Amino acid sequence: MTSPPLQDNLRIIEEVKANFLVIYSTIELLDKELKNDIPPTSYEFISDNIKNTITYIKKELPKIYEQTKKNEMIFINSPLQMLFYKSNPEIIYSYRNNIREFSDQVRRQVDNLSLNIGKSLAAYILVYETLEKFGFKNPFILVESNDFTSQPLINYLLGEFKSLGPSPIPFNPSNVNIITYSGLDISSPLSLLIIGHEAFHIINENDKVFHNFCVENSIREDNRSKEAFVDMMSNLYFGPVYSYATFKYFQKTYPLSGESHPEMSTRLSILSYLNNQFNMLKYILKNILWTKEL
Amino acid sequence: MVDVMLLEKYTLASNIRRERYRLISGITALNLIQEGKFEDAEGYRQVFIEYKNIPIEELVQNLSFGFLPNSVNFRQLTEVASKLHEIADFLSEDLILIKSSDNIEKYPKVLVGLLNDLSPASR
Repeated sequence: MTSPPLQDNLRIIEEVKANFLVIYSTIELLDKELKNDIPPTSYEFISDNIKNTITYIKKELPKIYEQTKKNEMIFINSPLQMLFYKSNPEIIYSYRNNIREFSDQVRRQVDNLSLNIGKSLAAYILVYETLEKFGFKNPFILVESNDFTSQPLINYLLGEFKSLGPSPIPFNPSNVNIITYSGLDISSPLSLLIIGHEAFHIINENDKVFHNFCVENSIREDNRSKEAFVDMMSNLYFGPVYSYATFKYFQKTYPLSGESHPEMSTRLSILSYLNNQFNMLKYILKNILWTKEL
Repeated sequence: MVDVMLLEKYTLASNIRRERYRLISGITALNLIQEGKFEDAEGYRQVFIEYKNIPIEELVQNLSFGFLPNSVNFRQLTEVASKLHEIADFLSEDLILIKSSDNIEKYPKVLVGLLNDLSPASR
């Protein structure tokens, strides 16, 4: 004997609600577990940046909760969506698993922030000093990953939620930058220069160097060109050793090219050209000095 | 070796989750449009239409990390990306036309199939 349709619907509603309850408790648990009482470090800016980041995440978590609540209401008020769920439970299971994975990732990365200070200390100081040389004090944190990138905190941690239907309350803007580094390469001194490249992305964003260059020279702004431009900025600041570090890094990296990065060979050619120009300059300067001695 | 897997997991996991959310949004939009709930569907529809702004090559790259490498080849991934563009084009049409089309019942099943295929990043 089959259940009447109404009862069947109620059963599905209960099942959907049970799945959403798991999502809510995951978010609540994450909020409780994120503690911002990190042990003091020798450099106050590191502790402050990490504390502010954790505070920001904790403040934004209720918005993910709100978004989930809205999705639940849409779901249980749509008979078709529920009927669809009955034969395709993946639609909720994926949602639930996503939130679990997100919580695991945030928890693990926040834990790593304090634990990894020792091995990323040199990188913290290099980025801080590079920014300071250009008069900037942008807050930033270094996050262990498998590659070197620089991006705003909001994109790095919360960007994925923008693709989940309408957001009831937008996330607050944050001025914290996330610089990710390859955990396997951080111990190599050359990798510090690759992190330096990421610092120049922050400088470029602050000063709009690439934008102004494009405007003055009537060049179309493009992410690929920007990447090469930031390479040149880094090379001019750190010197030819930056080119060597980039070359070594490219040798062991999965090819980085596409919408945001030009081909590795192009980037290296540009750096090589730049270094040659400087050699020429050095040659000219030496000759000028020589003629003075005559 | 364990370390390498752990690091890759975190970098790629958010990308995969973003794609999963977009697929869920697409299914929800299609179901709501089918019910005539156009206003509710709009937010879900818009985030799915964003697929049109992602070139096929980039989409293939985003998706390739989520599918098990041995089971899906480049040609199949391109087909998946093209299908997502096709559904995004469909969802960009007039809501009345979408509601009356035969595809409105077909596409949610296609999307749930992809959702199921996108492997958990922790696998």
